[in-house]
Amino acid sequence: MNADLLRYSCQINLPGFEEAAQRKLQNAKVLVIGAGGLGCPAAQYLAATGVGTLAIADDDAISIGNLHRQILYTPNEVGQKKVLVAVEKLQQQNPQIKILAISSRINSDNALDILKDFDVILDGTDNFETRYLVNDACVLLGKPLVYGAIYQYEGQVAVWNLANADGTRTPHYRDVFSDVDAAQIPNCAEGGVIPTLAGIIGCMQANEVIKYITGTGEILAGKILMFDAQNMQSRIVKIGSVSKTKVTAIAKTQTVPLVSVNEFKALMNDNNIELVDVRMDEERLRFNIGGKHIPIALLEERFHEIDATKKVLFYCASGKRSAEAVKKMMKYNSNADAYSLDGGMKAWQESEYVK
Amino acid sequence: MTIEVLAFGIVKDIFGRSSMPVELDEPSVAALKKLLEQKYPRLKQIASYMIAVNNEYAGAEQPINMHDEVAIIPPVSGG
Repeated sequence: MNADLLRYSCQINLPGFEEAAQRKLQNAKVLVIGAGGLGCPAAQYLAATGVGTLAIADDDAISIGNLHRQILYTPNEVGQKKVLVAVEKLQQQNPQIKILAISSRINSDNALDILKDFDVILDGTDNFETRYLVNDACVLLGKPLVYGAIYQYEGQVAVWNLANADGTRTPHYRDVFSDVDAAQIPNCAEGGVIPTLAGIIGCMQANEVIKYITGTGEILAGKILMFDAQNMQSRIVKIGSVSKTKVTAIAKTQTVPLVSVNEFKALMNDNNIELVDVRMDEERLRFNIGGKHIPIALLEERFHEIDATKKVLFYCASGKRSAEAVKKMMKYNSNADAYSLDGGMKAWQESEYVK
Repeated sequence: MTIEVLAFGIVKDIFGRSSMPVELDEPSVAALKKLLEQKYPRLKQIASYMIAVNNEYAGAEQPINMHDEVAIIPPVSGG
């Protein structure tokens, strides 16, 4: 065995794997989108297994609340760019591979250009807008997408958009969930998540990437795996073998104007700001920083209560629902000067703690 | 006909439990959707969710039989 293959000897010894499969991994280019709960474990295993070119895309910074599940990061690195810390550690983990950092946010302008250079994409994002964007870009480019998503104790895994022998493609995300009102579905920051679930689902995603590249095993295409960490039950739901949903173009992603916690603190006594809390009643009761309270589910019917002659600043637990609120507000009133409090109450409380 | 419906993700919160019996007059996925959305308007607000019958994706036309396992699976965004 070549010296450079020694570290992989235990996987090369697998039945059906051998040196040829290792070469395929070395020649492969994989893009992991999101260096969070799913992206951290997925990227660690993909680096360890010897994927030749591994790119990590993320535009977020490390926060204290990330540390329980985003296992590449330590308290000393809070505030630093996730992607830069991740890339440095992954490179130490495997100096034989090429690791690239993509620190800009993937949006409708750059998605095709970024994704086109990779053989397979891993979706470890934390919001629906990017999930649909990445899905649509993969369909347009004919790239397989390894999907994973988590909420509380439940996870989902699937491989979308694989080529069938007859030239058709296996189902993709929009075949299963055609559209979604993101404001209705809480994310990890709001609904909570058990950290080990992120590890389990992230590893399952890395597992599918390895199988796809090496041509081993049966890939989770045309199906979606559901896993429940509370009772350890998993089930595979069959979707079908061929995609029936066409994607013809990439939907324009919307850049939501943000106000950071520090910027807001400087402006707090400004009478020209209409502050609106869009969280649910019980979250509001637990902790709030004042302003009007309109849960996002009721926003459309209560827009008239918001004084749109002022600067409108929405806030929620993590900044996700308030970003959705800004989008809804702009749709309702295109002249509105609306902002989302970046990082929400989580960032607010962390800023108090750090001080 | 009474069927047992399993709930996943946010649908558990919407139903307030992880499984519940549903009385169906017309045994189809479309009828089940209509009934559930009437009773739980938040389900409709999600905009899209999957219904699986016996672990297979079920379209609106699909019939539902007495002992089928019916699951309501919403999209999940966390990472």
